Amino acid sequence: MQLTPALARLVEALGKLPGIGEKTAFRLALFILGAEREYVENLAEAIWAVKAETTHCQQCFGLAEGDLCPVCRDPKRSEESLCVVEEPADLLAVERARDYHGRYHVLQGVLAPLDGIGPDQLKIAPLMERLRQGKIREVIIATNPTVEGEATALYLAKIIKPLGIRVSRIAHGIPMGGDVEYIDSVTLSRAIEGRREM
Amino acid sequence: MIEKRTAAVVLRARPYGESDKIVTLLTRDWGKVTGIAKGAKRSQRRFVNVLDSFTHVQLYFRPSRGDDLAFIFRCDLIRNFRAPGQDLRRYAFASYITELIDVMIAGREAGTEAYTLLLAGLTTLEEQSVLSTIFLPAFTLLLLSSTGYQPNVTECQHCGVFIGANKGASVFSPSRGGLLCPRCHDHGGMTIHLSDDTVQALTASRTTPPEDFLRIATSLRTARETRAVVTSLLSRHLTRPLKSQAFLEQLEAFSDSHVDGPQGE
Repeated sequence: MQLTPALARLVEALGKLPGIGEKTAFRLALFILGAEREYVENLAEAIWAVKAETTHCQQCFGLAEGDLCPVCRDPKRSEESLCVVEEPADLLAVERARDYHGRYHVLQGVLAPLDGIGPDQLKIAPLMERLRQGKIREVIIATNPTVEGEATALYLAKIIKPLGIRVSRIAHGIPMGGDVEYIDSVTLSRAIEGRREM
Repeated sequence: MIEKRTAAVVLRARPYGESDKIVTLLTRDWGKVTGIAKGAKRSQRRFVNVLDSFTHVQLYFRPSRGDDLAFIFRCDLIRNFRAPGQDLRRYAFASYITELIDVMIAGREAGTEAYTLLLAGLTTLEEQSVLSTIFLPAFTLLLLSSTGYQPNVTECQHCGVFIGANKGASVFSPSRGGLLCPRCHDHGGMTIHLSDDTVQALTASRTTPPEDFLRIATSLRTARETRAVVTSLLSRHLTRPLKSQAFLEQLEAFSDSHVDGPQGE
């Protein structure tokens, strides 16, 4: 079927979204075509606004509108604890857990020599600047349990510990609701290694 | 084409789209293979914890036709090398040898030598409590040899005379890829003077099994001279500097400024 130029353009644009194939893009385009004008205007404006107004927080490098993100602006958050994550999406994941009430620092990646990413390409210098201000007493390193994430955690621990700040690493192991029988050997080995006394 | 099975080491994996990964592996039987692992970013069954760099796996795949990507069905874990995640310097070394293999080996041309060497390198990083000062130059030398760039340390590269007896007068010419005798030492452009111990080490690399050569104890001078030899040879064969070299250098500077720097070279 020959699409009108505007519809074809929308299908093409929607098809570039992750997880959206051509058929789904077509269905979404038809939905938008049939929707209320007000909804479509809101959708278009929301897409434009997220791109135009979202920046990186000047303090933690998470997502923000303006200079600081909501966490860095919040006076109720503890200033003594800092959780270091790889990407803004990881910050949002930790926030969803609702058990952490400190501040964050987003590295914007991990050490990956094979991709030419070293300490200078990450937000490590601003992290050290924050730590030298003296308020933070504990740094929780929440990089992913990949070889790159582990190496990054090692590097951070080495440069942070001389400042007299406690450094901890998030635990790795069996997920809640998991079944030991079906856990892979690497994860199980880590879980046994990181066991704790009851 | 039917499914193939071979042991392999993961060189690198990068995300592709929302849920897939493109993985490059050095296999025992099929040389270097680059393939797509569908659903690898999310799969908790076929690819969990097996696509990290430096992981030794059993690979199940359908080889590509021409330049296409191979199709990776699944990987089973053979060995998870943990040292790179526990020691920064070993991480840097593992990254270097993996990248070196990646750039020096093209497609299916590699025999089992490079695969055996990579495994020996990762095993040494895993098991050796104190790394030999010659570890990286030794690995590079062995890889150069297995890819056809072995330096000639028995005959003069200008006049062909047997050179083993010329104690204390060894000169290495990178442009000629080997030693020059005292009479010909002006015929090789830029040269590197080598001690007898270094010539012995270069000679030993031909006959010593890789896992032993990577662990030999040498003086700092021999390590330095061997490094100069392999660096000069590498610079003639690589089209770009290794990305992991910059990280190694950063780490060396970092170790110098921190008291508890990693052990080893």
